[in-house]
Amino acid sequence: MAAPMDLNIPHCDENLLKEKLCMSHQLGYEVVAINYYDPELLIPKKQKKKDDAHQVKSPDKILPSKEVLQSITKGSRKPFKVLSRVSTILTEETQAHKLISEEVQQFDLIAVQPTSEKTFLQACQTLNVDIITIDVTEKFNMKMRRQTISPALERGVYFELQYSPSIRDSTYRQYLIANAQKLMFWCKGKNVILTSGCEKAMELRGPYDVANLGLLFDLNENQAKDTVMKNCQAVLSHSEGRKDYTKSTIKVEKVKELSKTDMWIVDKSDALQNCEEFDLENNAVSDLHQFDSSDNDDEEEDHDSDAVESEPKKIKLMTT
Amino acid sequence: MYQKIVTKGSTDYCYLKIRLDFGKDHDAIIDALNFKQLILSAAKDVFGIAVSCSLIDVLRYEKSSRTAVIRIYHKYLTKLWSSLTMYGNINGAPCAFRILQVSSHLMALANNSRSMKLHMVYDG
Repeated sequence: MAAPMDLNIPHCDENLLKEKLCMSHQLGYEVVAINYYDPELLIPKKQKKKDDAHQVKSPDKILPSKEVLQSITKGSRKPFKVLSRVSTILTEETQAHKLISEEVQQFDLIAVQPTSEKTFLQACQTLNVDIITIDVTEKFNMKMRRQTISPALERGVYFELQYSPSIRDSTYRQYLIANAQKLMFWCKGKNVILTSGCEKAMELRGPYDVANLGLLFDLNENQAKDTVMKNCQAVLSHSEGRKDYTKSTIKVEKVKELSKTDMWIVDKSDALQNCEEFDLENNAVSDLHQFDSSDNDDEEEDHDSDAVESEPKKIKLMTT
Repeated sequence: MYQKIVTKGSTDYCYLKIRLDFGKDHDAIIDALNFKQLILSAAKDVFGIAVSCSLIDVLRYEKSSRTAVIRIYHKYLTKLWSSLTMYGNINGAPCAFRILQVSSHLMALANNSRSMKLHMVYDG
């Protein structure tokens, strides 16, 4: 499960974004999320000056095309996954209903940045989001209490700290360390992730460097490593849960006790199961095709590894 | 003959292999003295004089690739590492220290297992 992740790479113009993705791949990140930041996302349309000009972009427009991704990975075997993320500022409690809308929910990850104590409490207790962003560009003035934070810990909502502003400016560095230590005191090092939020590609740092940074924030070594690996994985699982299961209900009943009018459910689920099995096979086949279409170098290596199984071979250790 | 040394806990020193990277449009020639100066100023930026006064040795420096092997006290590893991470620009040029290897034995830096390649030799 040790896949380093960076769940905040701000969306920008194409070339810069490609540069950032390239750098993050070089540094060894396996999963990155492109962040579409819109501070006015939750403000109702009536208050806005221009109605048409302001629309939420769909995740497809934010994510890079397949060709771009291929040019970034350059045929290397290391997995590299790009996700979409939307983030916004939450200033008033009443604005939160927009987060449920379809256009927001289609993003892989949803993050909010509460600005007041009330909204912070709301984000921790009730909001259906994955990440709560702690602003590192100003001092954290909210009064934190254990009662406010513990619902967030229970629900699996994670707190995010960005490290790139602190590379840019030394005052932000103070805020980052101060805010982080304050946060760690209240949540005891649990449910924290460290992300970049970089404006330039050079502001990205390697996953182990970032984990080491966690040690500065009063975390122990395991917790520090989790902030870039395990906790990020938990955020992804949380987001999947939000996507698939929020709008369904489950009822358990014995098949024998089902009334005749409900028997169609059994038939339907059987059929569905068959369908899924079929799908699995299909996927396997399509995977094979992908394998074939990969670069020639890869294919040669594949043949080699096949040959190893059948015949005895000498394996030589060579260093570069 | 060889000598067997048993250490309890961590060793006194820690060795790091680090590289200084510049952004796409920037480049600078940096010699060993400058390199050490940069490390010291990075440490001073975040932790002040107390850490930058501690032992920091540049054992080997390669000018062309701006790669160096440095030796520090193990006690200061976290502090120095994080101050190198936080270092972001030299006179306005964006840069980054990349920590390539960290080890408590100098011998371990002789080779990088991550750049090792397996070559299959077909025999018969």
